[in-house]
Amino acid sequence: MRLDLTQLSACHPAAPTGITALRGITLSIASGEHVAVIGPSGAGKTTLLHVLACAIAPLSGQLRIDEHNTASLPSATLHRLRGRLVLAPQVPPLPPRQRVVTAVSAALLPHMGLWAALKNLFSASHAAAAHAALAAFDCGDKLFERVDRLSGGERQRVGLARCVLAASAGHARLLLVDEPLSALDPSRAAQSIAALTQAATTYGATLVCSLHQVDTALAHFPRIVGLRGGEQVFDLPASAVTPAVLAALYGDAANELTESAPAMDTPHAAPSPAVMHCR
Amino acid sequence: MAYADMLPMRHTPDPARSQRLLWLGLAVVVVWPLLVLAEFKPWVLFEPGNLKPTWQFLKSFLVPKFDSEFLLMVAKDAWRTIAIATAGLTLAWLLAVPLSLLAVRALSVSSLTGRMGRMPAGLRGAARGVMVLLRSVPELIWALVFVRVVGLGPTAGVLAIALTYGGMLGKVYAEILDSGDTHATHSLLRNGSGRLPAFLYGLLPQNAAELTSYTVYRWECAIRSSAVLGFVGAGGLGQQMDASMKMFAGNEVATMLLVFMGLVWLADAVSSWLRKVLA
Repeated sequence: MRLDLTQLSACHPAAPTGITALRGITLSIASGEHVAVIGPSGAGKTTLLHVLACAIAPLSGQLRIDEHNTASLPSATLHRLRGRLVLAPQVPPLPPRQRVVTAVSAALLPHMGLWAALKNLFSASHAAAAHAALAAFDCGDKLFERVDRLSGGERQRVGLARCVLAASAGHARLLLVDEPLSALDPSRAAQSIAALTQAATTYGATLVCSLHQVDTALAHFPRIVGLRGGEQVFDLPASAVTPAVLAALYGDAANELTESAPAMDTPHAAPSPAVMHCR
Repeated sequence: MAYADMLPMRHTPDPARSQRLLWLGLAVVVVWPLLVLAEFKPWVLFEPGNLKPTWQFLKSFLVPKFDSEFLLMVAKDAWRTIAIATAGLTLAWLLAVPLSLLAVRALSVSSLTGRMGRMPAGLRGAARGVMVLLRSVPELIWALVFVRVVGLGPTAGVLAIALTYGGMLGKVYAEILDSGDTHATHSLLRNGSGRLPAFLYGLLPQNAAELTSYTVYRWECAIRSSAVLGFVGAGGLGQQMDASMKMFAGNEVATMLLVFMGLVWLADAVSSWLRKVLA
């Protein structure tokens, strides 16, 4: 999928009105390209991904996906377009009582009829494909486990496997991945990002990925976009991103450059009994 | 010097006393007319003319009736009470599920990007209105209506429970679904899946335990309520209890109350077992 942004501004839906998270972004991403978005916390990385996923309507400016101007699409067409992209949020969207196989195969829902969805819920009909996607992230053995039995890092990798399954089925032509490595240790992180870019290359999908780890971004992505305070600071090939460029991007937030991502890998607690409401 | 002389201001009254007296007086002034209006005369219980029949009725409770013919009839009616409650709740469930799905805000596609559209908001309001209408009429009134329409018997009880409980279940289902974590559901909707698949793969696994636990609690309520409905001729244990009461057969009433306690205990046990399984 090809993406064209012209002078685009947007605000986060949860933010109070008047605070724009993105200002005047102009960017073109060719079909099949891999782009990493970096920048200090609060730079607008997540908002940018949400705008690209048509999850937030831009305040001003234009977003074109392939030949469609997203602002003028009727809602049914827009929803069909959403079925051809995958937005993987930073916190993996997995219901705790669901099995991993169901959670991963939920990637195929936009192209599954209601009856097929019910059948897949009753007995997994895409187990093989889900297993292949999980195996790419070294989680193949978790196929029939319940999500709340997984650690934070495993959940994040299951979320990425869901993203890869959508691409491998040929439905998703655009992968938008928000901070995929925030709960992973460095060696797992390197392996996971390699699996993700590998899948995007294999299935010819466009990949836009926001990253906290600058080294990883430089090592795995040919093109880097730097955001700061909602504005685009640079858009450079990875080889041109020098320490001086990075220092200018992070400024006084330079400690974010060196410190490791916050660990989310907490051990899971035993499930508590269901709540009983008497109302 | 005596101890009392050491205290300063010996004769000063408690400063809070006058205020307390005022509140006490006000309470009497307000409560007394209420008691008169409610014909609150507990001493009539102990007038010698009333004491004797009361004592005899209560004494007849002491030895529950346990002959086999009567027990068989009670067992049949207890079973009928369970059947009324279960059939009523099943119908209520069939009514509540579509209504709550219509009313749930978390499944709105239009509110993904900004405000909910006017049409869907109106539809959700209408579904809520129908549920308010259904549950604001107590099941006893519905039963009186249906006894006129379909005649004496369990059918009236089933229909009465179905309507009131349909409204209750629908309202609380919608509340449970909206108050839970909607991250997984919104993520599915954002990636282009339909509302029903998003419900099946996101909202339902997130809330299934709570929904089931509430449904079982309502089943328990329906068992208790179907006994009351029997008094207006809607079949089951209540109808028998009414007949025995009118004949002052305390021993029969005692047996039926014991059976009734057993039923409620059974419902309680099923519900707590289910909640543990669903953890």
